[in-house]
Amino acid sequence: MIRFENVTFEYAGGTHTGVYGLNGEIHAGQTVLLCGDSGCGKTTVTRLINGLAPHYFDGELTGHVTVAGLDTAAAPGGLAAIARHVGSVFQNPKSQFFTLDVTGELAFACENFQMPPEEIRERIAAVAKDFHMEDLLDRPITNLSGGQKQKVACASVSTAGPDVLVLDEPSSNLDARAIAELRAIIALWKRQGKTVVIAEHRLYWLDGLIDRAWYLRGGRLEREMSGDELRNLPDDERRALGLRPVRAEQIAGAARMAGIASPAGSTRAGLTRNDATRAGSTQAAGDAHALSMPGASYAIDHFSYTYRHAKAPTLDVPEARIPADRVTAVTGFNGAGKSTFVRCLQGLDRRCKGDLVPPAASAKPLDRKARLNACFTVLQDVNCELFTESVLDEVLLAMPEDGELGSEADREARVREILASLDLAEVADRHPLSLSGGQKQRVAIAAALASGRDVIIFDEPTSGLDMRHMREVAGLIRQLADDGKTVVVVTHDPEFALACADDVLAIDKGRVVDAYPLDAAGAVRLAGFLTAKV
Amino acid sequence: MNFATASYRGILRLDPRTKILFTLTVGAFCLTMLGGSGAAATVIRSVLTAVSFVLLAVSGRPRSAMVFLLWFALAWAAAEWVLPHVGGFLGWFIYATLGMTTQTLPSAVASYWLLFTTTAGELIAALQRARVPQSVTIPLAVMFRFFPTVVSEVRQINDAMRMRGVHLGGGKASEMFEYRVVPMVTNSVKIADELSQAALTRGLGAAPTRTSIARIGFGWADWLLIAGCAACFAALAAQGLF
Repeated sequence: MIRFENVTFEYAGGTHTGVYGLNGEIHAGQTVLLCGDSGCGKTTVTRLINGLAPHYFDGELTGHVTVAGLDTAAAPGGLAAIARHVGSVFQNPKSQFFTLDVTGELAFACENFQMPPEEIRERIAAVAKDFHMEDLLDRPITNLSGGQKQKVACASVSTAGPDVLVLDEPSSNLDARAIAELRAIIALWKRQGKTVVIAEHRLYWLDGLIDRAWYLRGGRLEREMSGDELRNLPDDERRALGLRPVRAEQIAGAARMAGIASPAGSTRAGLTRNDATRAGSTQAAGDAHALSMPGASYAIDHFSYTYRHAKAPTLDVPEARIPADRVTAVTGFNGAGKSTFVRCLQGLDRRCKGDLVPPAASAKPLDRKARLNACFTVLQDVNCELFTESVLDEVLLAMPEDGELGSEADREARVREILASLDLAEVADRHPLSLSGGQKQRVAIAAALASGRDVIIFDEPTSGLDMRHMREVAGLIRQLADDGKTVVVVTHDPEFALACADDVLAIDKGRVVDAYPLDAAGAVRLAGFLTAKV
Repeated sequence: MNFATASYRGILRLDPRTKILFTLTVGAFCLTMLGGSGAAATVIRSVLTAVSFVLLAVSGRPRSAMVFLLWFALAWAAAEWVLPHVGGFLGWFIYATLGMTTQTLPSAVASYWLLFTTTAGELIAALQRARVPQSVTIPLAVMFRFFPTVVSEVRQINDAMRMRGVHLGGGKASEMFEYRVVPMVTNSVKIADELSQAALTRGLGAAPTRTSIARIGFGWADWLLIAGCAACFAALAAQGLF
């Protein structure tokens, strides 16, 4: 169905890793995984299949890519001709919809291919039934959750009936429930005899679906494995390849290890052992014991958030604790209220009600306005918080002008110190937008440090990161806690939470439903909660 | 301002072309004051204004129609009873405000109704039937698709700025406008780029025309409204004011 013959593709300008000397064949009906580090070239392979390379992305292509009998580079009609055979699903649900309503979106590809309206309506009805999404039809896309959006994206390529489906990191923004649904969709395509190619970092949810896996490094196909080989990779070898867990048990397994020997070392291991003795008593949220943790902590006093026109509050947390100088993971499904919780904690708008009581006995409770200057959030989309023309200015902007560092020179010296500690010293004078994704995120962290605030919040910092980068971010976050910051991390990625957090606050339907230390028992509990049933 | 997302709202369904014609007619008479202050034009203006409110009310937005109507009535009443007793700069100011309100409100109501009751799909299908080429309809569709995205980007940027004390009343108010544009533009460009990729891999531009599942076409209500609009222009022409 798909054949690569001596394919080399280099992007014009050399901005991204291309693909070099690729040979291989994917047979009809197979499900193939493309894996490897960020920048290994797997996205480029997906673009070679759906024709975006070389038709949309300029570059030099040698060799032949054949999809469903079409030579993609030479096909008359270009992208549109390939589009009849290949459906593509992308990572970002924000930017892959062309219309505003679900029905229109499902019709979009069929309308482009000039199918008769009656037939399109029949196809939409059939796909909606297969995908169990009849209730979504006619709804505005902007109101859907991330998981629902990804479902619509899959359905909208399905209506036109392509033989090949290409997915580029489809699970990056999804929680366990949505991942389970995505898995069901891929299983359906497999049953329908479609050829499916998936580029992914998170792998456990594909267990049992993958026929073959291509491991890429530096744009070359370094290793080809059967599904069983991938599944049975010894843990050491898998980690050496930089691959995330390939089976759900491995997450829980890593959890058990994390509980006993803390990866971060430091004070955390000691605390964790103390907590282990308490683990038996942690139960439901209403239980006051469950919410109290050892050591000093920030206390949440009646947080609530009510949207305009809504009758009941979306978030209602009468009481909860955030241990000081530690990392607390705030977890829950998409739409559970995690982001609203963060809004409230940061005090971003008038609708945030409630106080945050600092651990020091003499400290005053922080109301919403006080929290605006006591907490600092690193946003999920760091591009939204890069304003200035140099990294240095960017970090200076976050530094309070009335702090103890009075003079301009002192302030700049301090910023340079922070940049050096985050491995950013060399890019201090570059434009923030010219940096890589990881560097941008570190600039945002530098800004958080420069703000001098005690509570630092991360909103989904690892969506779409490979294992190496995920561990790097986890390490940075641990460092913040070791330096005496209180860190709150919002995530629905169990692997990441286990790598960086000390405690867990679980949120569901706008309530804190569980709070426990991330000791051995807690780790297993967390992995069970955040891992999709496979 | 957003396009509607469901095609069936309220009891009345009109073809998008009819809606555009009506909105343009209201604009011509009420906004640009076609026909001047003649008696016929005044009557036409009152009728068009009233019809705008009625259309909005029967299209599933009775409450918005009431609010607009109340607003209009207040402005009109103020012009009638308050304005004659106020002079000087204040009088001029009130006069200008009320004049603008009464002049723009009917067009605002009609445009709101047009956007609220028409899905992007219907609009494109209708324009295509009116032989408008894809090079016009597709950018138009993208534009409307873009509004909600840009709004949500701006919200996030605002949050980031507020955390840095860059807000009205904060210490750094002067930077407020300067810094906003950069992330907004770069993010919009990135989204537009990804959006193009998604659209092209789904066959946009595969053929010179597209089919459409939007159910459009003229019914009796369309002909009635079209005839009404034609009558307005005919009345003016008869008076020789064209």
